[in-house]
Amino acid sequence: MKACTNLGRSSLEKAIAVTPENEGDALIKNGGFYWISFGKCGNLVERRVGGAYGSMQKSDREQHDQFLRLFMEHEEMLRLFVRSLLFNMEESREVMQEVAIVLWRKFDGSLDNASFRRWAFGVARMEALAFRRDRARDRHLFGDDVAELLGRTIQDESSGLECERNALETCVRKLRPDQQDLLQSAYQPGVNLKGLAQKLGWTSMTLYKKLHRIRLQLMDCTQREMAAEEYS
Amino acid sequence: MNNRNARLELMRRCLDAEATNEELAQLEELLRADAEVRREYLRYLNIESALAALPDKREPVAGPRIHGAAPLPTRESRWPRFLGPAGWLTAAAMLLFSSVLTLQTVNRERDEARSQMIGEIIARPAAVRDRGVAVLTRTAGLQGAASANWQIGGTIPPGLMKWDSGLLQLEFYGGATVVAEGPAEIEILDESRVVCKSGRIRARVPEPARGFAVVAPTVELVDLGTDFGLDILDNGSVEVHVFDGAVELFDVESNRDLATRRQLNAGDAVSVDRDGASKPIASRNADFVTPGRLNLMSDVHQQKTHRDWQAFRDSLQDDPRVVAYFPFERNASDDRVLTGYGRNGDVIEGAIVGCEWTHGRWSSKSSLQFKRPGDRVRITVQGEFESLTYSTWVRVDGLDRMHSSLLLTDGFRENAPHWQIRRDGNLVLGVQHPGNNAFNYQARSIFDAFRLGQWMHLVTVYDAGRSLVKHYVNGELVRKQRLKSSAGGLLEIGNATIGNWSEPEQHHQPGIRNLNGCIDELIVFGEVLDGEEVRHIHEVGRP
Repeated sequence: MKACTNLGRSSLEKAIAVTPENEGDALIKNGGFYWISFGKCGNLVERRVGGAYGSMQKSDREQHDQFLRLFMEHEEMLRLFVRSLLFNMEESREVMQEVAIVLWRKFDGSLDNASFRRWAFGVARMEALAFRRDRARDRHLFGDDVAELLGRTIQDESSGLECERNALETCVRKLRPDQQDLLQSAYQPGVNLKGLAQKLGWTSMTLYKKLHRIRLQLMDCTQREMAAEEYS
Repeated sequence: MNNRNARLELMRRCLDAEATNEELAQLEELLRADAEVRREYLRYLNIESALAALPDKREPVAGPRIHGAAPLPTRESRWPRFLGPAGWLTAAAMLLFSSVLTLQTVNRERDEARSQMIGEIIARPAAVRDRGVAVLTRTAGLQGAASANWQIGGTIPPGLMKWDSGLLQLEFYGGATVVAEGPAEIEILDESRVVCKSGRIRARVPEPARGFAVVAPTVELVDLGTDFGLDILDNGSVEVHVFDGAVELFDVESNRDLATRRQLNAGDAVSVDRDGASKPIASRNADFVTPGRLNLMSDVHQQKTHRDWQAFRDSLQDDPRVVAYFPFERNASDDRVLTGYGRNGDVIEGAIVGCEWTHGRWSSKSSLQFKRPGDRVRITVQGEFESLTYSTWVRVDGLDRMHSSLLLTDGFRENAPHWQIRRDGNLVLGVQHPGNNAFNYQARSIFDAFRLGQWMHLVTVYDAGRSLVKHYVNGELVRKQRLKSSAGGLLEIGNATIGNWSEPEQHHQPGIRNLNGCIDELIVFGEVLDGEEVRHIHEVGRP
């Protein structure tokens, strides 16, 4: 049985709030590259997948920290990008793992923020493409040009999209309690929506539509919140 | 499509995996043509993915405001998967692919090959929640509809267990060991409480499990650290026998009212009738099966099923469809050779590397244990086959690697299949179809944490005639998939490895694929076996 170790918290790592959602994400510390995951007893464990232990040069460590900073800064938008090409959340997660590994393996410390972002979006696009070619061959795929346009739009709109995410929590609190509960159930990691619909005595379509309406409500709300921020 | 609502509905359909390819193309066209639609699409997705990332603030189960929702399933994927025939590779995609590669200045060939294998990349293991409260550890002569699905070593969640006859042993997480004899109906409430509606049980409750409680029709029993028996007679009365230590009895539904409390000590026995009246009776220790005696009984039962299996083993040696059969019986004169049988009963010798012999499905039978990275059995299977059926009895102890090998041909040659288990528990038949078209035929989530350490029967059928791949688990068909259009030609095995992979290809990462577990039987048929035959192999080989 794997030993469970608690994750130490340096100032850099504090930035990551570990939830079941980001389990499996990349983390770099002590010069090693780790996946965050939950242990048998529900505690946090780290699994080293690359990089050297402790005996690293200072410059190497700096490079790791730099990678982590850059990766974290763009991670959410990269996720969104991959999702926009694959639709499927589980598949996107698999691809993001691969993206993180590729980025780490081929990271060039001389890249500035903008070049890293462009490069990372390129890698994400390639990985999503390769994934679809292998795993979702029968699905209609967005053309290269559309993938390119979506990538560019996300990069251009990233600050707005991030504001929207920040406003989301406020907006969820404004939903009716039953809507909040429904979200809570439907967005549990690993939930099967068809199964959930059955448990609730609804058809899948009813559940999908209810969730859709909530998303639309939240879209409107976040827009209002952002507008209010701008004028306040 | 100018109507915003219709557009958003289209986006929803795409996300919810309901959209047809035409609708996906329609969305693509809208995204291509209009920057505003792109922003809208990304905002919709942004909300959707941010919701998934919101921290959990409430209980994980839908609350009372959702009409009596039961705990949510956690194992399956939230989104239906897209599966089906192949057929996607456009010139534009190739262009994009190569341009990205140039950008990265990496070895194109290598990455192309690697990226073809991306389909093999493993989903991360999900956080495992244990809903079990006990482990089923021994059985003898179990009969009854539901009992067919109970596996030794299986985790038992709260719920009803009902069977017609035979004995089983449950070890509760709280520490109590219960032997129950059918006909019985027992409802497990949690790790220290059961409702016994009918049947006869014997419980051994050591110090840490003190407080273990049994609710019977006429009495509630709370253990004070002991060994006791409880028998529900046909007339509705309940007998309680204390063999060691002490128990407390309360009137049923009295909510453990102290006024109704009685204590029984070692040697005491009472009968409590329907009205709650109790009278002392003679203790009959021998009628309640102890864990030790159940162990002896299950050994006897095992010897019988082992003998039945031996008859099956002998019959296979005359089966012309068998191209390789390894019963995994230890050869006393040379235990580094795995003796098997090929066509016409010819002997095939497998070379055992590293593996150690251990107990198999029955304590009287051997199996090979694969543990260390080098452990493997090398075999050669001659011949070419239109169709193949693989069958194995395996006990997987852990899925430590990206892939755990059952039977892998060397390298990954065209039409030389790989039979293996992915770390996410999927059973996979990987085939390199002609034209460099590798494909994984998978049955998802066959293994999870609660299936480790148990003997399982796995069968995969490659049926060229019907153009199907079928996976069976414990005799049941779990997945049927059409062969890819690129499939064709005869399959071969040739030089291959059981429980590991020899001559891995450079671009497969990571290369090591050793099995962590035991194999007790492996059969390769050069033809298609039908569901009934698969069920028979399971039935006769079931421990």
